[in-house]
Amino acid sequence: MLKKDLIELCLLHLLAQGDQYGYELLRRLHHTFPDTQESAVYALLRGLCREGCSEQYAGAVSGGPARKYYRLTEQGRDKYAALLGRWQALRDAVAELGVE
Amino acid sequence: MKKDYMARLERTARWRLPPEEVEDVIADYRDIVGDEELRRSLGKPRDVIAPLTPQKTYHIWLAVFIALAACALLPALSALPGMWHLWYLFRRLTFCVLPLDVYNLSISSATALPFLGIAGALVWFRWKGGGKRGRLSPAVPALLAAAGVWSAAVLAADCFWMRDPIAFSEMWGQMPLYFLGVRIGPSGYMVSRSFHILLGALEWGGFAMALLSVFALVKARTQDRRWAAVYILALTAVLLSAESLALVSNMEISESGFEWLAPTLRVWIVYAGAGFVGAGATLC
Repeated sequence: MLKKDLIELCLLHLLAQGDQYGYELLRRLHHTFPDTQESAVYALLRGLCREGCSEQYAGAVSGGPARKYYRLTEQGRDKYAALLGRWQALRDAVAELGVE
Repeated sequence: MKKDYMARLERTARWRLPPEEVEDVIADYRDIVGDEELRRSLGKPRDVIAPLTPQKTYHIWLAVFIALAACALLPALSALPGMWHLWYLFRRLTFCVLPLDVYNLSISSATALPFLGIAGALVWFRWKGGGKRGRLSPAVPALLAAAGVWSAAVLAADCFWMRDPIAFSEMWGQMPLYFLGVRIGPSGYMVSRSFHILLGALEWGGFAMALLSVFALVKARTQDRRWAAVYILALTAVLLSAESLALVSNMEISESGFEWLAPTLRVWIVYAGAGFVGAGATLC
């Protein structure tokens, strides 16, 4: 499992908890992966949109430009389940070796 | 600093990304750039947009841009003094790719490219690429007027020349000698200073219009697709300048009389009409 897959898993996990504002998603991942460039994380987020795993919509706001929110699609839920399964299998395999 | 960074990011995004994705990306980055901590780790706008760029669609756009720019620059450049070899090079290159010599088609060399450019820009910007964004820049009507006036002036001069060549020739010095088939000196290429001015105006005016059309092309992609109207009208001006130049500088013109010029003028009026209609359609 590559770091790219891990970041995608985190993005899908956050989206599975509820619709998210793009900036909020990036800010949270910045704290988890401080060494990864925002542009790379954002490219993965846009990639998920392009694959049909997430979609964007304009949220209602009072004054100022409308905020764009991301939400998970059915295809995204399937991808989330698949990545989560791979991550758990990897974590168990590593734990079996005694790596804490 | 933040405003400047956002402006550069927006320009880069509009240049590299497909139009349907640009607004979403810009909306997201407007907030990200506002966060001091996140902005510090963003890097240059080009580095931010590069990972988001779909390579295939970006390369298609680059190919379209190069082709449209060449449609303006090649005829205008090759019309400049001593630059005819550019057209020769283009002929050689196209002959390598296609098994036909474009020069030997019964289309004027100066006509084919600008006409393709007008059609290509109309299809690309009117029906395919980008949306209108807010109020139209005041530079667009001003530059449209400049290209329109130049086209109209060239066309009016052509009309005047073809309807009354003698009167027109008197304005430009030695031209009656060509019309009457009188050769001056061994080459017959001696022309008056005023005739040089006419040729220079067509050459450099056409070149300036070609530069304007490339500038408008960049603006149409990075700012507002309605800039493509300036590209189309400037290209019409290039076309008319190049056609007129080809005819005016043709030394054999006197031997074939003037009757055949009337249909040619009608064709040029159709070109100009197509340019004005195309520009209007792009503005809508």
